[in-house]
Amino acid sequence: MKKRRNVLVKEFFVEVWKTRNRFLSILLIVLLGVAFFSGIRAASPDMRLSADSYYDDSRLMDIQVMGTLGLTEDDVEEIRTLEGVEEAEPAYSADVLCRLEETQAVVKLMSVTGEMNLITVEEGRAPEKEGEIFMDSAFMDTYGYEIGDTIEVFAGDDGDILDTLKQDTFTIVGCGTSPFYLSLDLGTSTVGNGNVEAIGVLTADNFSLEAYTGIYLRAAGAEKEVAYTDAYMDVVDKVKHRVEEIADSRCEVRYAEIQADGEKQISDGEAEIADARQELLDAEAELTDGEKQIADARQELLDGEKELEDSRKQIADGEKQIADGEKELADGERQIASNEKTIQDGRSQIAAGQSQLDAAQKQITDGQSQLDAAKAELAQQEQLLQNQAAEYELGLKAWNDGDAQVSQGEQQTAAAEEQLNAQKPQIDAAREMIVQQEQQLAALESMMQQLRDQIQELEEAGDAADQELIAQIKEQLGRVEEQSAQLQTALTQIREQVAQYDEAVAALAAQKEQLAAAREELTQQKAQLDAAGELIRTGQEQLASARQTLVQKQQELDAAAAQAAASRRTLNEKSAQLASGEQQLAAAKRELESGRTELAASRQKLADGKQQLADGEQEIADGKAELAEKEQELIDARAEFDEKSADAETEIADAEAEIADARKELDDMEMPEWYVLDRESIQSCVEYGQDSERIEAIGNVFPLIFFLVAALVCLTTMTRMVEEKRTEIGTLKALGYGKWQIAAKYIGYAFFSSCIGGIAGLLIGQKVLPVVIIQAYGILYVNLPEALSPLHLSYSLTSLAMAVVITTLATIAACRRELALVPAQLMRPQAPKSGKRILLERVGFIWNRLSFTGKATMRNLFRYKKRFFMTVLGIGGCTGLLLTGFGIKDSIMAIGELQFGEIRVYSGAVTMDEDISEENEEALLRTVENDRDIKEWMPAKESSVDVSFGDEERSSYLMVPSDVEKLGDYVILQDRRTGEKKELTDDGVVITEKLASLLDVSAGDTVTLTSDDVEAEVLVTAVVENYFYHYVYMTPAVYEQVFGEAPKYSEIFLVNDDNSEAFEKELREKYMDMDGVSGVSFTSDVAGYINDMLKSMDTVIVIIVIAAGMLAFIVLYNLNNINISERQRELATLKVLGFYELEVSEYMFRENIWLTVIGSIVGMVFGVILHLFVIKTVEIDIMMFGRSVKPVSFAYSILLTFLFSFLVNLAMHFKLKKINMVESLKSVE
Amino acid sequence: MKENGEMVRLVDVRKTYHMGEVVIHAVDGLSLEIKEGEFAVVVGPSGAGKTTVLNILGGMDSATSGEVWIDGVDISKFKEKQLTSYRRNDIGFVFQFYNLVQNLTAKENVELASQICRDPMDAEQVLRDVGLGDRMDNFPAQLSGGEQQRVAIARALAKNPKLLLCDEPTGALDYNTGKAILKLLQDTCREHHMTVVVITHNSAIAPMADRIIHIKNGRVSRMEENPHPVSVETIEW
Repeated sequence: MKKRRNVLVKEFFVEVWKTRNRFLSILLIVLLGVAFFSGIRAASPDMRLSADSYYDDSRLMDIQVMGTLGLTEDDVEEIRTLEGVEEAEPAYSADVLCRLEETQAVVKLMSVTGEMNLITVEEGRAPEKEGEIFMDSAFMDTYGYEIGDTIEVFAGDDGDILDTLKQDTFTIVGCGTSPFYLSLDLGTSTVGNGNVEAIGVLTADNFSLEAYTGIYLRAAGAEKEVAYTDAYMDVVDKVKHRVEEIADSRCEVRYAEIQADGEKQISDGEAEIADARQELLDAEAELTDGEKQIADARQELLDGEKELEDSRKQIADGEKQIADGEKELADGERQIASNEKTIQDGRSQIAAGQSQLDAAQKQITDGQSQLDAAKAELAQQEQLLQNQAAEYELGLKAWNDGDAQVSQGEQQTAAAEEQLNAQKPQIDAAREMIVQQEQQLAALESMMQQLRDQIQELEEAGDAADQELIAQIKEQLGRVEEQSAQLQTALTQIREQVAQYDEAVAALAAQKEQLAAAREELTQQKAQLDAAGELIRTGQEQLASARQTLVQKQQELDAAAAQAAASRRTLNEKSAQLASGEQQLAAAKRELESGRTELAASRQKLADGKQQLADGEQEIADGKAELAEKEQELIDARAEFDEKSADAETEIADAEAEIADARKELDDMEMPEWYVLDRESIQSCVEYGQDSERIEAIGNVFPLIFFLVAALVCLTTMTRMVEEKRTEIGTLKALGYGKWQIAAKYIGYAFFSSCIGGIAGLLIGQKVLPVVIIQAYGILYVNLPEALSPLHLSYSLTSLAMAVVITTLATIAACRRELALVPAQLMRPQAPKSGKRILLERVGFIWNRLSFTGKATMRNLFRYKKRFFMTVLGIGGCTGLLLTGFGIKDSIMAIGELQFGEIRVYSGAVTMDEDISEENEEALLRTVENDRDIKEWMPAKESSVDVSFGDEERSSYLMVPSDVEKLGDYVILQDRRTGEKKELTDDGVVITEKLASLLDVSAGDTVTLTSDDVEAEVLVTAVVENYFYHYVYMTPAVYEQVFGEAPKYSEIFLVNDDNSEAFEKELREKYMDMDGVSGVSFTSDVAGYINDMLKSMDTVIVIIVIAAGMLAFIVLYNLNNINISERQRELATLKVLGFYELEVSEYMFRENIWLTVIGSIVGMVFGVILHLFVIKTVEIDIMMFGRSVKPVSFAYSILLTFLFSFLVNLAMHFKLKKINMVESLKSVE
Repeated sequence: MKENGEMVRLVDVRKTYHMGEVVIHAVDGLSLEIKEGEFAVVVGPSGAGKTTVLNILGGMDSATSGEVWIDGVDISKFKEKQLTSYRRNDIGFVFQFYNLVQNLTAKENVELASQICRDPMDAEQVLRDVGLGDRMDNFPAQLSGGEQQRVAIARALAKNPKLLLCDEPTGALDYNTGKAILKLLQDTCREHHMTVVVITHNSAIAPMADRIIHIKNGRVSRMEENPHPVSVETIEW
């Protein structure tokens, strides 16, 4: 038994290996089904988990409390004591504006809150002290700020920024994210342009606010629960409830506190007023005193003046006496003066005489000295003359000597001449002798010469005979030569004598010349000597006459000196007389001086009296001036007082009024209110939750399709397998195996393939799909740090169980039929499916027109019904999924396109403050009227209203146009399906479609409107198309009727030509700056929001397309495989008949194409339904997605389906090629 | 190379299959010839290589070596596509299990073949010729075995082939029906002057053939010409 079983087990594995393609296809389809089922279902919880993990990590608050009058430390303490409050932290927050390069941005400032709402620092660090700020990363990137930069903030309204913050400039120390903001959308604000563009976190000590703006708290046990889940909400709601319970009492305390504060301030103010009054009275009293003092002073002055008059009289008497004394004194002085004059004259006479005398004396002295000089000169001249005379004498003597010498020389010369003359004849004879002797000499000479020539001739003849002759001749010659020598000597003596004589003659001539020159010189010297002798004589005569004159002058001088001595004596006598006169005068002067001193003393006395008088007068004058001044002062003071007191009175009155106001305000002050909010108040937190819900809704629909297809694929595949194994089953049965033993193989086959596929699927599905989807949403929620994708036991088990059970059940069902047969039947081949006529053949006119192949195709299509339905389902599912995917995108886009393109066609709206003053409102309307950028405008009321019908209640916008006729320019009221225009009448209200469907209201019903405690029933006259928010439209008349007052138009709807971002930004800034404007909104803002939604949808659509493709591929491939294996014989026959490969493939493809076409058509119907279902499930209450799918989406879906189908057919073609013709010859198994 | 009146000539044809490490010589140096218009019967025991010969003749399989002359053309070197054309235009095939397309009526099954060849005969005429004039619109499932085989023969004839190959045409039929089918084939041969090759393990039908080819172990053991073939009716087995 055991052994047999092992054989079967082994056979099982062999079977699996042999049919691995089939095994894999079941495995894959199950994988796909399970992956999608568990993956998409897990996506939503995984999204929540991911967010929850971030919230927990950053310790995001669970609840925040805000109070209309702020919150105090006591409130915090009180909240901390509440049960279930794990921690509570007070915080400040404020919306301010920040100056940027060209514009300004709204910055939401938040204080650091201890261990809660932790910021994630991406760069830099968290703020630690005053003046430091931490900004969100997006802001840093967008506006290019760096850490270390500073930003300057200012108040958005008219207030002072320093009322809120201690300083207005902060240094950026870090950047990152805050858990309050998952997405880049930072919400709205009431300042600036209304869009918060940055988040700033700073320490609490930067704020100068009087009370906290909020308290954040974390509920105990909430961290354990996953955010967004009911369990979490339960925990938080309990705590929220407890906080709400103490809210009233805390509010009362706060109220009392503020009242007490107010009272104190009022009483302080009153005390101040009382003080001011007292001060006023005091000032008055002082003034009166001053006036009295001045009157006293005036009396004193009058007394002083009288006294002064008396003294003035006394002084006049004294003055007269002094004048007399002065006269006497003047006379005396005059006498002295005349005497002095006389003395003065005498003295000047003496002085004159003296000076005359002195001049004479000087003349005498001068004369004497001139005389002496003349005498000296004379003496000198005399000496000079004597010297000249002596010189003359000497000259004369020298001349005489010279004369003598010359005379002597002349005598000598004469003697020498005489001697010479005597010698003369001798000399002449000598001379004669010389000539003779010379002649003799010459004869001798010539004789000598003859002799010599003879000798010569002889010698030359050389005759010895001649020698004798020669000797003779030579002897002769010798003698002649001796004669000649004697003659020569005698000649020389004579010549000497002659020469001596000639010398003596020459010397004598020279001597004679010298003597003549000396004689000449002597003659000249004689003339000179004679002239000098004459000069000396005249000089001697002049000296004698000068000496005479000198003696004469000496006599005259002596006489003058005697005269001068006599004059000096007379002068000395006169001088003595004058000195005695002077002594007398000095005595008289002394007498006068004493009289003068006496007079001066009395005059001094008088002057003193006068001075006293003057002083008195001055005093009086001063007193008068002072009095006048004081009087003036007093007058001024009085005036000032009058003025000041008037002011003070006004001030006091104002202060009193203020106090009255303050009191009124205090009395009017409403009991503060607490707003206890949970995370639902955090915009991005809520949006994220909604997105996860949307994914959940998709997860509820899509995977089911996959599952259904997977189950059907398994069923057909296993059925085919069992059919193929018919003979084997029969054999085993014949061998005696039990039903279950045989079935176990197939059940096991299905179980294992689905189990493996299922486990792989749930792993892949839950690990991959949620991450992909969360990351797709990451485009929106950039701050979400990580995507968690844990395995969910519930999804894993349910999907796996479903997959396994369905495939196994399908297999059991397939086995049942075969197992019911007896072995003999099983051994016989299964009768091939017989052909029969199809319905279409009865429609002759179509059928007859079909080609032969067309007919064959049609028959084949309907012959294998199971395959037909399976394929149509698979392809239909593919098309449907694609259509749904594209359709969802269309629908979301429709919100923007339809809502703002066809329904609400206005460009934007300006919202006024609720309490806008009339002037401001008028100014605003005037500006709008004159604004060229604005094409049309209309005031309207837009406010919140609750609409209820039956048990359902929804909050909606109530819109009341000021001019019903013009409403059509701003909002189009029409029926979505028919496009019929609806009128707004005074009969009732028009409500929007989604609201109507949520409340289950249709035209003609009466709904209840609730606004500000006013409840009213109104008739719904029409339901109109609308995609975003809910609206109730109402005419002013109906409003008045319902709410009992005329509507106050708080909005101005605008239609502009330009819808560009820049234009709108400018317009927004222009109007936000105006007083009384609380907001400017544009429809394009919402369009941006929708675009963000679309971005996240893109990935979802890609997932859907891939999924649809896989679905189509697996289904088609699997079914084609079955088809081919079932019809292998038929295909082989075709090949034997000579069908080309392409023709064989075509034979099959034609069927597939038809199946694809039919599948697509079915798919489109299915897709439209699925799309509608998904859209309705996915959409959130406040919006209605477009209900229709665009034609282009249909086209895309069909094209993609055909593409997938084509790919499968391509794969099939290769499979068909492999079919062996020989198969056709084999017997049927 | 076509000799006078010769339709088929196989020269030293071999076909070798590799089954794992074992080499099987299904046909091992086989040579034979069949004249045009002859009714040839190939007989031999199971595994002798009859079917292989038929496959090679029918262009469903190609010989490993040797020459296969069909109407003067050597098809042994044909490519897959040429073989398909050959099957399409020159060969009519009758299977043991008829191999009719169940989803098509008798007439449509014939049309299936006639619509693809060059010179088809009229489908209805052929069906009438094989005696199925009133069963034309019936589906195979509505026909008896003999009738189905007639449809198969009609389908083969409609292509107007040069060669009609029949693989155990009576194998799945009862005695009388089988006889009737053989009669139909013999008549066709005679009337249309068509070359018919019948493969069978039943040597009893040999006397009705013009040529009897005995095959054993992949070779022609004996080939005899029967100058006086007898009518089917006279044969008993």
